[in-house]
Amino acid sequence: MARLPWLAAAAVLLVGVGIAAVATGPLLFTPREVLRALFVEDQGLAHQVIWNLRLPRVLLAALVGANLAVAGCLLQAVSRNPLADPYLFGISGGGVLAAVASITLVPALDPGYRPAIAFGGALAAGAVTYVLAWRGGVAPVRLVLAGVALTSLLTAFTSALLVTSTASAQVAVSWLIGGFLGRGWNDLQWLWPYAAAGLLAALLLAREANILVLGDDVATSLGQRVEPVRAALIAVAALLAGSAVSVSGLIGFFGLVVPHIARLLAGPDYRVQVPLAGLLGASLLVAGDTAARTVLDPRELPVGVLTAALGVPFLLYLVRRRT
Amino acid sequence: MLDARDLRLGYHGRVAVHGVELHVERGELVALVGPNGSGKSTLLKGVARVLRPQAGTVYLDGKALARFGSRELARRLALLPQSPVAPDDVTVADLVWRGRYPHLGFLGLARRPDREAVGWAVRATGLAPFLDRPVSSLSGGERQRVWIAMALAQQPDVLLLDEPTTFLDIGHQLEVLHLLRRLNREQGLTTVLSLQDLNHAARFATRVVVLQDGRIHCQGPPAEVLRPDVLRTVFKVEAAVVNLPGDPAPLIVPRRPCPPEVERSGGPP
Repeated sequence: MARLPWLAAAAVLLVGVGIAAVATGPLLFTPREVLRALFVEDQGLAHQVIWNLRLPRVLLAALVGANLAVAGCLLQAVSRNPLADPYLFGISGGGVLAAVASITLVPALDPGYRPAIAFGGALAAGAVTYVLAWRGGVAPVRLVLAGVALTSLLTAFTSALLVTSTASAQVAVSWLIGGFLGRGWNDLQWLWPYAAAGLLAALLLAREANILVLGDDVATSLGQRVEPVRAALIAVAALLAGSAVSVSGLIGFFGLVVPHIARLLAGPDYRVQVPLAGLLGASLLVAGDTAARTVLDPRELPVGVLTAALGVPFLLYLVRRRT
Repeated sequence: MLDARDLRLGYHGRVAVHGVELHVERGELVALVGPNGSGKSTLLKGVARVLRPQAGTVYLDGKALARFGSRELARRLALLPQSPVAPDDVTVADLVWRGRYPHLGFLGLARRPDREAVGWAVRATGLAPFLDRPVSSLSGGERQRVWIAMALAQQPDVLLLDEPTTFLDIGHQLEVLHLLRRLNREQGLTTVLSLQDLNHAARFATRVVVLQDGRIHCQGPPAEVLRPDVLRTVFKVEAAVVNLPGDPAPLIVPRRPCPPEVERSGGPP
């Protein structure tokens, strides 16, 4: 198929962006220095900066970008709605609310627990959306409406907590405007098992998504058990998006736009779209995070602001070019 | 080969099909006709197990549908619902290939029988020139042929279609019906379809089943069933039924709606 070159190109892009990202910062390195620092040296300045500071952050951004993009693909398939993303299903909102609640209500808690708490909140909110939509089966329209309603509620609670809290509002706000400031190997160790399991499951479910989007009647007639497939897709999306939110906070827009870019490039077959969105999401968030930490150096832009500023015009360009 | 016994179907407690007995023999081309809301779509969904029956059982070659695995059933029986919508930008080849879903294993790897089945479905529907075109760029009739090709790629023994000619112009309606008749005659594909146009039922079906209020009103060869009195009772139309010389299909000419039934008020008996 003529679509496989896209995957190869996206993989090459990801490696290139990754190398450029660890090379870039207040100290600039050449690609050769980067490779030496990663694979040859085990001490020295370049090794310290790249191995301890930049590499974990780049890997985190790559995993979070891939998670959000793939979660968006799955949710758009489940809801047959091009506007679906983890935010719309309450998943992101639940993660943020849980994190903000833990900061404002239990300020003494070790920050090391926050990812787990945010993850739990995201999964719980996804489950609540599913249960709210259930009525002898979850019709896509009910799923979207339940998600929108729940998200509004979660956002209201989060705002209430932020307004009424005094001490640590600054930390709490960093969950609302996501980013990777101060993230390191610990966070990566926490994230990667969930990301690996979720991304693998998403690849295996891509074929089921291809059938589900034909509509419940056609899918059933083709021999698909529609409800278990839908539940599995939502669960995997919640796992991906929830684990992403738990380390980065809310990076909006990503789960919405990257699947569209992948679809516009490679077509509607989820067996291509899912891995392509994952690779593109990883590259784009790594690039975005690198820009976020260097453009205004020594201050940081929230990466969500940058990704929106770059990604939305690109999406609009693709949409208009096609018609 | 397909037996519905005492089949009751409905949605959320409402009953749409009451205790229907429907028996379809191998090689038949059965048309379901009836007014809107008479239960045609519901009956097709029930017979295809897309809708679980509230009571009664459907048998395929003597085995109850409930005892089939979902993919196992999909290899025997295909339902094309009314006006399915293809996702944006899906190509003809992609959509037809998705019909192989019940035949593929866990990883979805295609083997030679799969390629042969898709090739056959594409040839049978005359879609070879369109394979790389997006389904959305095709005309209504071509699009319907793509969906039929997807169902054929399933290689079912029984093909069920819910109003496959709705929203098509007259030329495309005939094109689709000719295709279905050819598949029925040449491949022996057992076919059950619902139709709005009684003249199409008269011309293409080997048997017509007339539904009214979720029950079978009558059934049989077109010329025996599509009579003025049936049209009056079931469809509430005054119609003439004409036999053209040299044409076996009766021609139905609806002329006017029946006058509403006059209410009997009190009076001398």
